[in-house]
Amino acid sequence: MSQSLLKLDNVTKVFLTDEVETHALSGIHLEINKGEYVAIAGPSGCGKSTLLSILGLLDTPTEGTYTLNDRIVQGLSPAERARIRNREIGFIFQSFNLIGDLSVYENVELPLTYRGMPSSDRKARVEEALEKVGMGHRAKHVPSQLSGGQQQRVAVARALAGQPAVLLADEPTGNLDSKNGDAVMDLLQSLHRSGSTILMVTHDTRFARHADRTVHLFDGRVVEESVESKE
Amino acid sequence: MLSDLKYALRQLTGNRGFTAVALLTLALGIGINTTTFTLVNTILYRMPPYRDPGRLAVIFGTMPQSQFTKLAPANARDIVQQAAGFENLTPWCWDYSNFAKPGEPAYRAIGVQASGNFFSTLGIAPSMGRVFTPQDDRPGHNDVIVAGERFWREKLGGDPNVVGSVLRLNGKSVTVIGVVPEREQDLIYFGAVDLWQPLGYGEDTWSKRDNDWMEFVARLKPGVSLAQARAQLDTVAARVARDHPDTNSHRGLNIATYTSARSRGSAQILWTIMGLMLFVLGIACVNLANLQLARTVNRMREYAIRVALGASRAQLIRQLLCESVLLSLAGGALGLLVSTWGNRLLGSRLHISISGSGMDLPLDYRVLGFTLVASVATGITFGLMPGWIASRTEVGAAVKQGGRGTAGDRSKHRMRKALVVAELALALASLAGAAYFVRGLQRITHAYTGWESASRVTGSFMLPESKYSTSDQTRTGVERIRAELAALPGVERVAVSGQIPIGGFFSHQGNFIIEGQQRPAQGQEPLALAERVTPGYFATLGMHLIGGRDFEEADRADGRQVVVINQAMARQFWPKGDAIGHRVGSTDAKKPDWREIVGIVNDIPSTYAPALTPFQTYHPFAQDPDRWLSFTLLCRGAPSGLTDDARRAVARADPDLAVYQLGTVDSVIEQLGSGFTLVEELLTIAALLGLLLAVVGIYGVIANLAAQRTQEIGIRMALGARTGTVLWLILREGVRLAAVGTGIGLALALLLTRGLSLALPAIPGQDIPVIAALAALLAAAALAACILPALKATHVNPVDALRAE
Repeated sequence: MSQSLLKLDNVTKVFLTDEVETHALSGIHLEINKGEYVAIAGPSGCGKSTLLSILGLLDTPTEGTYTLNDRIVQGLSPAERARIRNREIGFIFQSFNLIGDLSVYENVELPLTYRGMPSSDRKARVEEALEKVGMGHRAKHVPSQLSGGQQQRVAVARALAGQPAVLLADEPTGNLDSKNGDAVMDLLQSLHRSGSTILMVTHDTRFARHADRTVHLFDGRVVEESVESKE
Repeated sequence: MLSDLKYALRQLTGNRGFTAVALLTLALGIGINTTTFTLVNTILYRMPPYRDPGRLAVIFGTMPQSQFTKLAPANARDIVQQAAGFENLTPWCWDYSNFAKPGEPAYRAIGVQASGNFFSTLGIAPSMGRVFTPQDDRPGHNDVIVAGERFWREKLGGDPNVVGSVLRLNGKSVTVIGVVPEREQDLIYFGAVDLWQPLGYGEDTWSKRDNDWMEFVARLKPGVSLAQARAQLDTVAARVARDHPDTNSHRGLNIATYTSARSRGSAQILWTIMGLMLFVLGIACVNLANLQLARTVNRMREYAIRVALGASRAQLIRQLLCESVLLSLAGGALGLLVSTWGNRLLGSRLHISISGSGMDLPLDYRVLGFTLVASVATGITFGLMPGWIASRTEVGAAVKQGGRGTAGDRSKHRMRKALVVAELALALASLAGAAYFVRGLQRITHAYTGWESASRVTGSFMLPESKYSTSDQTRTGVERIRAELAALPGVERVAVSGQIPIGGFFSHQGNFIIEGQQRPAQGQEPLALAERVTPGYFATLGMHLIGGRDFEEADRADGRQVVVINQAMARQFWPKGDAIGHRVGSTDAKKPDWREIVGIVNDIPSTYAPALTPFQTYHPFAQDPDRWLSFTLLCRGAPSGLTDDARRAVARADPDLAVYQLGTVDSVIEQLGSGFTLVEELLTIAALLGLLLAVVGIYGVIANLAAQRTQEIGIRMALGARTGTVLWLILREGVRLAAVGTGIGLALALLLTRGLSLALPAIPGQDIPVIAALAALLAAAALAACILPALKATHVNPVDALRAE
């Protein structure tokens, strides 16, 4: 039997701006099991990013319950959320979001530094992660010296280095050409095969097909779930 | 932490423009504060270079009008004989000597005459020869001197065989027995002393109880507290008052630690100056917070990424604090360099104690500690708010493609504007604080003095007892000097007096009684300041004779004893206006010294310090001669050319006499007020620095806001906005900030100057029109700073601005 990793129960998110209420998410029920690869798809403005922010503990739901690894997390303190984010969640962004002043090595090392991990352990983890994405030879470069595809690989390595419970990828191919986009998707696929749980937001149905399951959002609601056949 | 430091260093070296501006701001802000603190530390906290200084104490006399008077020799001797809690008790006094060398003008040597145990009390060791001992302190045998290192170097040619050589001092021969190195001297208390000589008083001097001229240092026995010593002194004072009620009733003794005595009177003003300097550091902090905030806004995405990766708020704040503290420590190090230069400049212009001019302001561990604390505190102050804002970044929006920031951009703008307002308010308060002192000191130095200084030359001299031991010798000597001076071409009038009344000071004071009026209880007699003057003194100084007559040559020693009093005394004791002809006398029953009032002159107000008494008396010099004197010449033409002539005239009268404080009266007043000038300059520099920082601050914010509105300006111009409209669009933000900052600053300035006037009543500096003028100046400077970014905005090309977006 599959073990539940993330669970959203009747989650709602309302933004209040100058007396105007915007319902970004309404009554979301979503459960993701360990080792699962789930895509969240939908048109622009449907609430994909808001959902990802809540799942990544960057935002809190207005209503509903969020359970991560059997622990209800939506009411935790900012410090505790930062700790869980650091240990349990790995982010991959559309625009890579590497820090330009840090080298490839330092970018990958950053989440481990926040964890207070000893330097020798960090070194081993960073090298392993960079090797996994094929960027070990670029460890001393700074992001501006890398191509978009390479930067995204580094971002994946950074997400992997902390050995998180789940990888949250927000349009990971959005800034890449088709060749590099395919390469990143292949990388995610291989990570999934090696046991990683992945949740990917995309508006590209072509990439959503890489996932085991696709959740379709529209106007802040789950309108459809489809399971990909893997033949 | 190490990685935070490494990253901070990389950030600072990568943003050279920001780092350079920040370092310059910090170096000036911390440097000027370090220099001021060095002054505070040197004067208030630096230990004197004496053995076990914690056990050193200073003993004062007390009287109803003051807790810090000198002591009469007999009272000093009573203390030496009766107070048991002391290891050493040492009376001493200032002694200015005429040091003459053939072919050179006589030099006025600054001397200390002290009892034989002076050097052992303080624990001073000579670098050559020996110091004097009680064996040298015998009447008629005190013809030995110990020279200070500077005097030895500058006046004795640094002769290594000086010990045993004979000098001509006050027309007498004295033998040099040793040299005291400069490092063994306490410039703050004693100043730069040239020579030390044993007192050598005989019984006739030691028995004097009616003239206070002795000072007193003492060393407490180990384990004896100041309170215990004070109790013993109270017992001695009570006994002396009982045994000598005519001179000592209502008189007592006071004791203070040596370190507190040497900074007496200066602590409050020094700390006030320090406080005003901290305003400048505050402005620097706000300025840097503003710069840092601008950088924080530009780096919001980076902080968002860090938050997304699990950085806690504390970790993010720590990283930003690392940057700001690293920057402020580097700024502090540069500030130390600035202060080294500032200390040299300030030290060279310091005039401390009655004999000192110029002193070292060293950077000791306390100053280094201050700089370190100031640097770290500055770093934390200007780094905390940007750090806090960074830690509250809204990650979701910031990490999106092209996401700059956050919904909080407007609040950050508000924050930056608030900082500029704070900066302007602090700058105005700082300007007002400096203006308070400048105006206050100007009021003191330019206050109504009751006499005139223009077209007058003055000089001081001392007739040495060795040549002028009798009153007749003194009178003859002064007559000779008067005659020589009067014969100088261009001299209209000549007068000799104890001193000229700069600041309202008189050379003597004493209690008096009035013939025919009920005598007050013993010790309650009124006090009057007293001066000995030659005929023509009042006219020479431009004073006004209100009634009666001036002294005449006929007021000789053997003539009728007469006195001239001031208007306040006449009004108080003879309200009907009939003072002339009445007699006043001293409180000494054995020597009442009755004098008939022959004239009334205008009051001489005390301008530098509150007056001990409003009553002033003048005695004819011939009837009450003194050896410590000043001359005043009223000149027909420009007075400056007469100073050398005056020196030569005195030398013709007696070649052994050294003339000091010689110059036009205005120049001597300026020299004596140089401490005031220094304070004025220090505060003015600090206030102008504050103003500059505030103006740079408002420029930075307006320029930044204008740059962020480039697209909006482009749209407005595309829609037909005119240059004036765009100019006002940017300028009005500056006008608003300047108005709010100046308004708050006005309230702060009024509060500050009110507080200063309560804390320092002797410096009456609150001046509403000046504060209003400063507010206008600040507002104008702030607006001028906004003009440039506003003008730049009018040159935006709408096509480029819209394409850029």
